[in-house]
Amino acid sequence: MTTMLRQMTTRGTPYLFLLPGLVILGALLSVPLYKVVEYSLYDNVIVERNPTFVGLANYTNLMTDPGYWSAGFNTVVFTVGSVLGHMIVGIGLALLVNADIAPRARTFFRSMLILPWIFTAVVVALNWQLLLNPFGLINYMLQWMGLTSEPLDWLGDPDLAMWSLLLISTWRGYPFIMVSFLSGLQTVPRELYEAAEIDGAGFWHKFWHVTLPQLKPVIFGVALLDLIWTFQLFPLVWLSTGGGPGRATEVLSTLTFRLAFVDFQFSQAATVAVSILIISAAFTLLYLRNEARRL
Amino acid sequence: MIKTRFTALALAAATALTPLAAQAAEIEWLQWFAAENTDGFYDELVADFEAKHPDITVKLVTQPFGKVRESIVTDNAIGVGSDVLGLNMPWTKEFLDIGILEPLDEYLARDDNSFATSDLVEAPLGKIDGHTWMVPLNAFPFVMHVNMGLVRQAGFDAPPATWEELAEQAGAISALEDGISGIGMPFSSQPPSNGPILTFLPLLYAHGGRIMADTTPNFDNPEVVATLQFLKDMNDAGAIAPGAASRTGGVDLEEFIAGRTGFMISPGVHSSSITSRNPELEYTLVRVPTNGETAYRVHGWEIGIAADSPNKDAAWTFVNYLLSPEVNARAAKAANALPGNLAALDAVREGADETLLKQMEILSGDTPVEEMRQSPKAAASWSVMTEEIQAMLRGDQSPEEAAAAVQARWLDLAG
Amino acid sequence: MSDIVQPAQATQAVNEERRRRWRQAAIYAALALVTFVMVFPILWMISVSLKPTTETFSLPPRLLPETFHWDGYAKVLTDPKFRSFLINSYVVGLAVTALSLVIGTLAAFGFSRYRFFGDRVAKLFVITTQMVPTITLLIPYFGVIVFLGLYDTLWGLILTYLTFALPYSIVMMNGYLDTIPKDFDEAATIDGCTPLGVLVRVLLPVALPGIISTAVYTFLLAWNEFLFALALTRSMDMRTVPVGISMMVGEFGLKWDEMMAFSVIGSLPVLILFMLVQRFVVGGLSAGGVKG
Repeated sequence: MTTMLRQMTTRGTPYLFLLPGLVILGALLSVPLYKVVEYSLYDNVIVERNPTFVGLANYTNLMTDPGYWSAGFNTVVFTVGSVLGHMIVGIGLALLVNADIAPRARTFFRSMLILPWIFTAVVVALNWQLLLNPFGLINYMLQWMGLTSEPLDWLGDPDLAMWSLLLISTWRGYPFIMVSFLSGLQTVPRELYEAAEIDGAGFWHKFWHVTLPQLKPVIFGVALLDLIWTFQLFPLVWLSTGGGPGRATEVLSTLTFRLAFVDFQFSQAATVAVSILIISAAFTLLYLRNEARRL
Repeated sequence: MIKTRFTALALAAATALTPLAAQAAEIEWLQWFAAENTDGFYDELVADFEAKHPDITVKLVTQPFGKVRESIVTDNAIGVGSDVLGLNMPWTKEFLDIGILEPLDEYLARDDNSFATSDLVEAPLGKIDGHTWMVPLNAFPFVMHVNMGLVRQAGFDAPPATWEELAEQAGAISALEDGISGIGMPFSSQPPSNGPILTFLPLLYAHGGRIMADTTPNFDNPEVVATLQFLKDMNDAGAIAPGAASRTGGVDLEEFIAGRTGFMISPGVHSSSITSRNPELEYTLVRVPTNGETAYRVHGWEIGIAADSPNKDAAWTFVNYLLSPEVNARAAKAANALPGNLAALDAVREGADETLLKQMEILSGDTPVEEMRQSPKAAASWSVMTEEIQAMLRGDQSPEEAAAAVQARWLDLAG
Repeated sequence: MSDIVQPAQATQAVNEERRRRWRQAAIYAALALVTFVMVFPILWMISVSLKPTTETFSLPPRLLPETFHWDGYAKVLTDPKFRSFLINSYVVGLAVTALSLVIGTLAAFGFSRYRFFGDRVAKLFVITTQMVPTITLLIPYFGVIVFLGLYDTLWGLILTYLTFALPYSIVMMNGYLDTIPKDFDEAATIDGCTPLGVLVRVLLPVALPGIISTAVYTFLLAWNEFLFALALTRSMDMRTVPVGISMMVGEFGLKWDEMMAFSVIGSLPVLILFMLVQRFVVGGLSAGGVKG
């Protein structure tokens, strides 16, 4: 096996496989990526005809801005909460719809369960605004069931807004994990389960000792991407709460947008973007190290 | 520097693509008007214009309202901006600082114009930095919409005309039954997060207050504090619909149409949606309740020309066409608005309903105010107002503190 | 002997069968319950699409409309504008999906089956392209698209979503390929397969579930994207569904029934498409023809 690998490596084959993808990404994204970093070193761009180079001044501004730190804190809460929510609900449902049931029922349930994913963010946000309204269906049902006595302002109360946002984000994001994990489940060799069953393993034992280890590459990949995406998730947050009330649900992505398109401070926005890049890169390096250890 | 490099690239690309663009005098009109309730009207308008001016073609570029401001800035940065721009007054100072807008003084002074500048609604014409930057396609005075059914049910026979009456009636309506509120206050942070300019400013103007001194913030004054106090008192009395901090303008409108709120302060143009969607509502509209002042907040759809446009004369020809009394009257009727050219008022008055006539009365007698156009950071300014008013209504700060906080943050933004 | 054992075996089998059925019933019950909870917000959307807005905002809120009001659907189905939004979205979505699967799988194969100079850097670059909030990339990216002459074309959108989707395709296909033991490749290589042959004939059939989920992801990414769709197009006939929907959120009101009706109509084909492809998300290695 090692000789074979060595043989392959000596040729340029892997580079040929990578070429189309890298060319497209490089051609279209390397200039914009570079530009964002460059923007962050000027006093302001886009709206400024003659930008002045200011070095790292935008970064020191950011580090001393309490608004940035509070958005950063909210981002961590939102990201960790959302990714956990996606993972728990997504993996749980994947196991459930992967159960040995009639194929038609399986098709039905799988299709119904991906529905939250197929509507555009504007519609998702507006629909949840209706549902969570003080006079909306959710408050009405909670009161009818006697769980609350007064209607709650889910998106307008600073103590509840982040929870509501996590609910919306979990609902919106679990189908992605469910579908990815479901596909992963199919590649687990059946023999491994059979062997475990002969040893008398129950459901949880099989899940922990067969499924999870087998699916590690898929789970790590999905979790990493979900983490990176949620870290900078914009439309859903912006359209659901606009970062409010006050700044109770302001995350780094909405702060970036606010700086860019509300305040027209494009350089300051680029600085926040670069800080997101740096944090995400740290995650990714961890992931790649982990991956290298596995191989 | 960065920007010009992009502009150069973009222009090179654009010319490579459409080498004939300059000769054909094709102009683009970016607006959101065609996405509002005016099906097909603007396509016909453009066709009519092209028939009259065979040397000019107009391309209608329609954006969703919520994205127009961003689109104009983004397109401008890349050098693909449209020639004629649909605008809102609050964007004036922001856009002219970026250099997006062409000063219109010289065009307005031409003697072959189809309209007299003195006939135009005044608010958008007021000079900023020494120039006029936009002209009015139409005008929407802010009014108070009234659910007369609820007013009567609460034991009153006329809509409120003063603040005191408003507070009294709104409180009484809220007390009627669960789910019915006196007045809606859309102070949500959800974009555009502009509730205060829809409700707070009209009340402030009716109280004789102002928030700007030329282009400098002036929020920390007794009139502002009194108006904030008025909101807070109404809220404490339960007269305001619950959930103000998550209430969007859209929900506010829908709950009014559904007959669940007594009063709604918003542009008069809403009267057509109200009457067409819920014909059973006992509905009327009145002046925003005042304390003796007759100033009102005016809103409208404005038109400007892009500073970067290569076809400014063609663009002006089109603007000139839009402002001629006959076309302007048609455009106003299509949007159920008042015309930007007041010479078109008579044409609009024909067949106008009672609500439109009332708006005309306000327009012709009272003082129009629009201050956000002077603000160097209008969109950020109203978000700040939203946040501080939310905190005040929640009981986290007093009206004085809210006013001081807004002022401080505005100065910070401007600095 | 066997005569004695048989009844015991039979009872055991019956017990087994009974337990299996009980378990099945529990699974169905659990599925029905979670599905109802998860789909509930969608039911509300459908309900809004079938009510005049005055009813949507009347109290108490009702899930079932008093009378079915089809105006939203009628409006959306008769206006040719909406048909064009739908067609554009499907064209863009399908093109992006096809391209990203081919290009992404090739790259993933390279990453999964080879160690080579610069592999970690290449992968880091691929993932890095996902790390900058797209809103800040928007303006410089817009410049690139205009420069390439792709402004206001569907190709501009296709290429854009391809750049968004590729990193995912690559990372995920890499993950799925990694779960397939390398012995498979070796067996095929010994049989005289080229690397591409190994990928197409041996790995892809096994990785089919992964391909499907990557395809679903890619399609939905293109289907849902709004910011770039708006900035990179400007003619009405180049616009996609999310842009069309956001046009219904007007300055002076929101056409709730039309918006929800259009969302529902637009999503039906997506749902059907998913129903068709999800059949391939079954199996397991030994069920495939790898060893047979």
